Amino acid sequence: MSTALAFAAIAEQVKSAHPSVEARESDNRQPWLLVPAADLPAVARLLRDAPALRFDSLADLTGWDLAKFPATPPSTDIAVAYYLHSLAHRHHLTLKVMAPRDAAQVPSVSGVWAVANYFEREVYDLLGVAFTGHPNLKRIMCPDDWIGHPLRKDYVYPQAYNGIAHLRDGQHFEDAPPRVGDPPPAPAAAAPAKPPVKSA
Amino acid sequence: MVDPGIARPGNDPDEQVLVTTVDEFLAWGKENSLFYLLFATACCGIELMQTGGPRYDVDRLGMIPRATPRQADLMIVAGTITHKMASRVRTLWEQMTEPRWVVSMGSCANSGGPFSKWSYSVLNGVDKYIPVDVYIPGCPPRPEALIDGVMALRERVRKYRTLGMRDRDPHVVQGGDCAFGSHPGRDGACGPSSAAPGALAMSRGDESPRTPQSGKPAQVNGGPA
Repeated sequence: MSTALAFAAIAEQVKSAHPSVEARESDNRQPWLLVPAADLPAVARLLRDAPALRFDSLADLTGWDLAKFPATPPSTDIAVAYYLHSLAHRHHLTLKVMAPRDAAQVPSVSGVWAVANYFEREVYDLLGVAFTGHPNLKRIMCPDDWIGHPLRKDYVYPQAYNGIAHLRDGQHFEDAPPRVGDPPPAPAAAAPAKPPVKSA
Repeated sequence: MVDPGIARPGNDPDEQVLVTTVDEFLAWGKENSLFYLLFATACCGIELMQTGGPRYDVDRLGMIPRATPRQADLMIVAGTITHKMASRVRTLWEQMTEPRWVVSMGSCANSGGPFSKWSYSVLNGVDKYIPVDVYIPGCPPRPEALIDGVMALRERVRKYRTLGMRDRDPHVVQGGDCAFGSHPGRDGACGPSSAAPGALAMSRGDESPRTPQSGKPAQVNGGPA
């Protein structure tokens, strides 16, 4: 007999314990739970430990920058997503946490799922989300003295690293991303509006 | 009984003596024993492995893979080099003994390849960090192209003069190397004046300015991609 729960049942259990959690659905993607950052550790422990839920596996933890993303409503937050799977019950769940861009702080879940240690270091490295309570929050991909968080939409490319110029002699790209020291861009004509995509 | 009247190969003293210079003899030995460093960072490494495999078999050229740079004569930079990896590449190169040779294999090592435009982390050409003797275009190059590059390198090794440094062809190694002090005897051939504008001193204690991408390196198959 399958003990897997549908999303609605999982959301019901979580919301009964944490009313601040919102269930979101969309036509073209999996439903997800929007969790306030402050409630994340408690929600994570509930999801892992409740007998009917038992999300014992954090399959992935990733993030992205919502700036320049055709979201409704427009947002400049950094989104962090948790993809959970239950090996015991064979059901899965997506959590999302929104972190404000200027003070992106999310509680670490590395004490709940140990694998989150490296995932959170990656999100910190590339998106600049500070995971509070993380045991070893430092860069994992870029060199330790790298400046900036490259997957942020407003990331400014370095002109040089470690004394090595980034571009080759005579190499330039008119439509390349902005780099440190570039002259300010000329105002461009307004791009045609894209149809908004329903999103977090 | 051997009839002394019958000429046999090797009996003639003239056939048993080879007259050459020490330099040419050393170059001949080096050319035919280019031990290469087992080092690959991306898909070019697959082609490098093929080249060392039984079908192409570079062992027949005297190229034996070595697992440590201290025993290697040749570094084949096979694959994408990121800024983070570049200092490791340089460490490996510094551990190789002179004379050392570098083959840049594939578009990534030549110029950054497909990552040269939008990537923030990829080094646009390994010659920004270490001097390169031969560039091999391709993404990745086939083993035939790698062997072609090795044959071009062997010509350079043959011209290399261990003792008579002044006899060296100035184009044997591209000009960027002398700023590293790679090949003694060539200091002064190029200097700080040829450093690229804005080039910074190495942060690893190397006081000499870098002169990237200067000189005229060898080109095979039509030049760097």
